[in-house]
Amino acid sequence: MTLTLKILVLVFGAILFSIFIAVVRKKSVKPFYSALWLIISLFIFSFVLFERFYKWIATMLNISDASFLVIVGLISFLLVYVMYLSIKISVMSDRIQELISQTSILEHELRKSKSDHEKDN
Amino acid sequence: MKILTVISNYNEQRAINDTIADIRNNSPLVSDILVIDNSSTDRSIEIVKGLSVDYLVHPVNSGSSSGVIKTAFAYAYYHDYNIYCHLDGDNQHNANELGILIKPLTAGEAADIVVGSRFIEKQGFQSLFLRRIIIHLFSKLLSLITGNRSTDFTSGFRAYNKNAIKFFATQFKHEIETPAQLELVIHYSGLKKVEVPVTMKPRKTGKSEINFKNAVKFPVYNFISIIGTLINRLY
Repeated sequence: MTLTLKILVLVFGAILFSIFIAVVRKKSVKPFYSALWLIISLFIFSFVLFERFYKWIATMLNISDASFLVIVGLISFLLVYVMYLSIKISVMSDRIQELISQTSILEHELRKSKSDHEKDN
Repeated sequence: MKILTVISNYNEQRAINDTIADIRNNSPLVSDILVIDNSSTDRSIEIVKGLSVDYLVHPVNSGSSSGVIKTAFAYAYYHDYNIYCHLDGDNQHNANELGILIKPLTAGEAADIVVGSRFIEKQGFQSLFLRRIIIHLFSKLLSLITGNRSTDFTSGFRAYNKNAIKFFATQFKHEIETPAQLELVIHYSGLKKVEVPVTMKPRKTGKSEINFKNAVKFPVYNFISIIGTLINRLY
């Protein structure tokens, strides 16, 4: 890994890590997702800090350039993560629709019974 | 026989009055009228309140008109209706054709769902040229997949019997994302759908959903949802 690439990776990792800290401080992300983003940030830092380790794995897998291993690893991780999020969104979307329907029907029933009650009085 | 006529409304302040008046004056059915508002931002729901019509209001916009249909199924099932008829709030459907619409549900034709199609007799408003071509191509594709003739899968002028109401209220718990998906779900659920010829009126007031952005989105979304539904069907 060249020095320029190392600096770029560190800068990108630092940006991602500071966004992660800001989001956690605002409590706008659930703990599970905070942990995931922390892992991703640390994973990016590890490219520079544990370069030898990645080179060793790359040699073991007969991959000529360790950078490919890192890129493929990161892309695979993100794809799995995106798939996980689409499953979550699909489930949530169905539940939201159910809640919208049920809430509007309940509100209607409440309004109707209130009006019937007023008529009785 | 308990019949529910549902009008879906989203920002139809200029047309909703005429739609309700059309049903009250011209519908041959004795039915309860219910307006389901998809969280409009205009004055339409105030107008509905002033007309003394029963209404439901979604607390938030459910994205597409299919959310209104899901609510209508839940309401019709909860109140034990035998038939649920659906019209859009833009006053493009003719309320005097509601009798034609529900006929296959009551005349022993064993139909569960009836769709009013403007493309069978090709009378009245036929939609814009590009949209007509897209509807035609998708209808051909859906007819090929299902083996049943489909000419106007986007039609909002529909009637459902108790079987269909029960299926959509209790068994099919997913969001209906596109009209094409709805067609396939109906087919694979074993419900029998028939089409009857109807005429549509051109939109006189209000804003149509059809614009350049939606013209691009419509075929893409419908095509993806067809593929997705077929994949889900495989497993």
